[in-house]
Amino acid sequence: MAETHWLRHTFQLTRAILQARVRGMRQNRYQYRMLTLSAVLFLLVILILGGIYAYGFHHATGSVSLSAGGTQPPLILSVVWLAFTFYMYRRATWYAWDLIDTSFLLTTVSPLTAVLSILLSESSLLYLILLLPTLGVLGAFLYGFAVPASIVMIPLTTALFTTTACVVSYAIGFAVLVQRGGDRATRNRWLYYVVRILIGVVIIGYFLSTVGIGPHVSIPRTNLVSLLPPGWFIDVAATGTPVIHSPARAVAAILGSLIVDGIGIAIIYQSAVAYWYDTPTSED
Amino acid sequence: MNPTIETTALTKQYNDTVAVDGLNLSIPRGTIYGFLGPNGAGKTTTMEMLVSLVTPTSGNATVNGVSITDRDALREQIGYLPATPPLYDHLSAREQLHLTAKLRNIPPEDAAERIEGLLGEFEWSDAADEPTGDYSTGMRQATAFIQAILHEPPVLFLDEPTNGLDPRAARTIRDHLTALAENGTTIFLSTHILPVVEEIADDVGILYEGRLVVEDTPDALIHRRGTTEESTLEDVFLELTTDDTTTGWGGE
Repeated sequence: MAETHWLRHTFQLTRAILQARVRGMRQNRYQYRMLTLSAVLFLLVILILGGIYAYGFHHATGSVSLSAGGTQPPLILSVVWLAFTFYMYRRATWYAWDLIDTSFLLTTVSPLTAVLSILLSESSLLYLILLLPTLGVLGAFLYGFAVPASIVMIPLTTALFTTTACVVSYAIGFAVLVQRGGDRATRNRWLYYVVRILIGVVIIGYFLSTVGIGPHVSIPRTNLVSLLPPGWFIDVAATGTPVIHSPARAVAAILGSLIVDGIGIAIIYQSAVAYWYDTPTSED
Repeated sequence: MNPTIETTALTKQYNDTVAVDGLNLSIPRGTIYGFLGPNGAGKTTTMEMLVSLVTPTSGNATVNGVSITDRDALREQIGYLPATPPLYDHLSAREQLHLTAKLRNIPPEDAAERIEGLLGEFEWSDAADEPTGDYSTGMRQATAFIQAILHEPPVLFLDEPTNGLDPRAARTIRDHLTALAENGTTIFLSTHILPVVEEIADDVGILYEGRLVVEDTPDALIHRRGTTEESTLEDVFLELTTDDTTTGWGGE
């Protein structure tokens, strides 16, 4: 017998978790101020860099292209997406250990409802953090291009950005938690930490080299990060505007996000069930 | 009559540690079953297996006729209060309880009536709009207790339900448990407060190093081995949960 009204329960639970988290953030003044400041700074960086870039490109070529391969906007968006995914991954690995929540969730609703509620509330929280930059970019687009389609496309871009960042980070997070809790991982914990450190060193080294810090490494101007699919979200945002963009990449970004979200949720569900039901919660 | 809680050779092993070792239980409907044991004996693991939070390594169990592997059906049969109250710190007790009522598909009018009635019995209807994170340990415990019984489940699993409660609230919970059992609810109660078990439990099982070492009524346990009139369940517990004293008590 499957859970009745699981979809309704998902939204009820999401609302409650989000309500509790927002209240928690507001009570923590330091965290609240930092998040507000980050959102304002993020907005300013996007508007100023975007404005300078658009002006410069327009001055040089007579048009505005945001998404040609290897140009800076997709690179910045991909780096920001990776940064948010890493932030959410850290939350995933911390949050999943918060078994006080799961003892209530898993004896009240199905694991699928629990997984969907966690993902929806986390995505919504990320959306809230990005709300100010989203509104700022929307305002800039409406002011600059006066295209009504932006009213839909800019918030949609943020939604695709947040859901994919959440789903990918939680899929990796739960997989790591399951692996960390497994027999083999327990026996070879040192190897696990070595691999983690190596991955960290490679990622940090790669980013340092792309911005020219440290020993000189020959990196092509069109680097891999700028070609990552999250950069295609720019094409979604620019849809309907005079900005040169690729409709094919915009469609690919939307469909790709749906596929990533679908496969990601399936992976998270399997990993979460394995993790929640097979990991010791008590020494008693 | 079929037992409401029945386990057969229920076992849980983590790596090289056997947390619960071949547990056999048969608990009839309407029983308050005191499940005792020292820290690390396997009580919480047993309870988590019975509420389907932990998958057994081997063996099987049914709760109110439902296999513990059938999680969707099992959730309908049980109320669970873990040792740490599962509350969202930034929701008030009233919000938390109304959320639970929605997730348990309790009609809103019935939910409001039950919630206000139960909050009234614990005499803190006025404080029920404060965030639960600001509550005392006892108030959190009682809120979680109300949450566990709100949907009137046929089987209740309670881990240290009177932990941190003031005497009046502890009495309210004990009275509730007795009344629920009289109406047919089966209660699986784990606690270190042995006088509570002595007072309200119909049967007692003592777990030691993952194995059930003895099971009987509290009175029978106390008088089973020629104890003195002043003996209590605590004396029996202390004697049974020491190495080399578990033979001759009829345990497994």
